[in-house]
Amino acid sequence: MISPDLSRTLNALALLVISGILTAAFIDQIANFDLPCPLCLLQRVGFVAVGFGLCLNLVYGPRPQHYGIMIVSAIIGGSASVRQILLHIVPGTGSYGEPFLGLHFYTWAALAFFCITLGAAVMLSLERQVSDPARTPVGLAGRPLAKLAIAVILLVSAGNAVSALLECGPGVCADNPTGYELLDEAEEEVDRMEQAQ
Amino acid sequence: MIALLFVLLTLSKVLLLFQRSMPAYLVFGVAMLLNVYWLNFHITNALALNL
Repeated sequence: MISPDLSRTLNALALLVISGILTAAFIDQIANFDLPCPLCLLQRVGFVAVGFGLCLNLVYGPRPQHYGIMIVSAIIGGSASVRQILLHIVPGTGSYGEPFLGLHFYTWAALAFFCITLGAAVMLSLERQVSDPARTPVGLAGRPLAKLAIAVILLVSAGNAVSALLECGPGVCADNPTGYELLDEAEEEVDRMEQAQ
Repeated sequence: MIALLFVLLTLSKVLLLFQRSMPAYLVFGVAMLLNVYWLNFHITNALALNL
């Protein structure tokens, strides 16, 4: 029903969509100073983890195990989303962040994780994409879309690592972050040194 | 810390690029274990539960 090459193309496109989701969250974080809470960060981790399964499909060819990794990652990431929805589902308990097109980011994330699980399940049901491992070309040679998709997810993943480190520092992330902890501490240290002089 | 999760996941993808599948799986597995640990921590955090 679907060839290995078409499957790899679809996986590359899916990886670009995942990167787009993470990039949109990043843009909102920087442009609107809408800092991610710990559960928000864990949802981002869930998306990056789904990306690992997609990368496996791109490098080694589509395999059921790779789709399994995607589903498990989506379930873990979706758990964080659903948890955050439930924290604010009672009227009057407030919400976290500004809504986007009527839904909060954690609600959109839950929908995305559901779609990822559904998509992986659909791909798992298509048999012809899985070819003999001995004859499946390994690597990204001659696959510019796959290279682009992996490059983008690496960039976004590394960017999230830096952002999370600046926001939380080496310790536990604040439940309601108000600033970038490491940057604030550095600023205070500079002020202290200036005052000492 | 959650930044470590992103670092580990980035590292796992880099290992895949160099076709080191076993180290990649190992690093990914460690990242997922830490992910579940942090998820459990923040889900059961008293401050988060205090509505």
